[in-house]
Amino acid sequence: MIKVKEYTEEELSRIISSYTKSLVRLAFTYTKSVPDAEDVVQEVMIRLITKKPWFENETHEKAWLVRVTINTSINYIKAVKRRRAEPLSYDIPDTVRREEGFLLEMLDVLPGKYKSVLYLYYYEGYSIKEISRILGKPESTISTWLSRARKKLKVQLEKEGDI
Amino acid sequence: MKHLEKEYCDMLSQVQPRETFEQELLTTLMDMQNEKKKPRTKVRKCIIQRQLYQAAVCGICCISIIFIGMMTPVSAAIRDMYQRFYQNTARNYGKTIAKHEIEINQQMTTKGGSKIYIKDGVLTNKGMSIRYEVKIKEKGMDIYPGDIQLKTKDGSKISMQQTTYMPETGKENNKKYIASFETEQMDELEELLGNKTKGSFGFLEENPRDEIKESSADISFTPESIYQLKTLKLDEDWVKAKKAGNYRISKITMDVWYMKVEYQWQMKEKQKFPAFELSDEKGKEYVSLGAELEENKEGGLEGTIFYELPGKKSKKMIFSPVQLVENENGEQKEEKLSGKSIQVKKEDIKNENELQKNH
Repeated sequence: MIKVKEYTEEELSRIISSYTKSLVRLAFTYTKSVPDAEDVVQEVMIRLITKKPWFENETHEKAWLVRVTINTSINYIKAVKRRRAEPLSYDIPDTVRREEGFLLEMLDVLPGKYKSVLYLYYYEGYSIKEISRILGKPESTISTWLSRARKKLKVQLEKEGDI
Repeated sequence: MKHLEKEYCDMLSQVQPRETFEQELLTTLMDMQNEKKKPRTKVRKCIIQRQLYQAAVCGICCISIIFIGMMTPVSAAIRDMYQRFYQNTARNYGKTIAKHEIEINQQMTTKGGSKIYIKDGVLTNKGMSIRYEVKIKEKGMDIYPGDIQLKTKDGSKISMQQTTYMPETGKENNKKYIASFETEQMDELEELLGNKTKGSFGFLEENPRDEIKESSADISFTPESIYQLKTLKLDEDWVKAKKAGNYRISKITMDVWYMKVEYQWQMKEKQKFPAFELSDEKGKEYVSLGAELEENKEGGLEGTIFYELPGKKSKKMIFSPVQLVENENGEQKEEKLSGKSIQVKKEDIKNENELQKNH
């Protein structure tokens, strides 16, 4: 793949249909609301067409989109937290079952970096090596974050009683 | 945990954007490309406001620093406090690493069936470094060192976070590793000296065909001393090279069994992995044990390379610019870049105590 001067409609359509759902879910783990997650993804896509980064292949392309989605989500929640005194609460979609909504609330105790690693490991099925490349962090750091995220969840589960 | 992981994936599968979202997004992006105008969203508004806020906070901080700096009695008091702090915490530790080595000699079998031998460790002024060997592991299994938990004599816990790990040598089929850990509980760590200490050392195993497993080994040892890591902060000008870009080394740390070199690079082609090849004044080359590279906020690159320790007799360290290239098999090779090498005298890398004596 080479750096493009302008994306064609076909090219943008391919990118949107390949990655949008996955990126909205990732952003949702931070923003806690689907409309806000959609806004984050729109912002990410705007960065894509304005910055026009160079991608070696589709893996590299997805890695860039995932990284920018995480950064944009973090910036967004920081901005919202500064403006509102109380923390954001989940705007859980109607389709999500009650116990799953509870799980979502429980995940909220995790710091952002742990949420990303959990999402990429369990939902996207990436290995620690791949997450390390996507997030640009050493494998040792990713393995530590994953281990701590699991431990924190386990502690939280024990507190609340298994779901 | 397995149940929880399944619930997590089920729950996220139900989070979907609106049906019309993809089409709307495509239209917005195409319009934007044609008209060069950015749409205003809630997220964009929030982020812009946050950037303005950050700029304002930075401005206020800078003005405050300049103001405090100008008030001589205040800055003198801060300097005095800083000097007193270091005089009080200064301690004389041994000069050689061997003196600080603590035998651990612990073999463990993990939940995934791997056999790990924990050889020895050294307490440092940052935490601890440990050497271990993965004797048996399943093919395709990756093993990562986790955290260390130690107990003091009065029962309180010292938690050490893993900061880095690397192979002990650059040889193929290497089974021996070094892991470094850091803690903020240095006072408690010093209390361990001369006392039999018990604790645990955790590992995380990742098998592509199975879930991840965590295991920990009980360790016990009696530490007698703390090794002071040697560092050198370099505040040099950028070395400018036409093709390679601008580069400089910012910090060198002589850890217990490896050397860590932090550097910065400004280059146009971000997809490249610039690094340094290390040799001494006699032309002996030292193996790189691993490297990391990240883009910084200014759009430049910040990297860290880990090398084997230079020989005792070597006096100079010569860092020549190279770039790491990965072939189709995932093997990394170094390609030389044209540009001036950076030379550092080994004797300039000192521990905190030596630095204070010189001042």
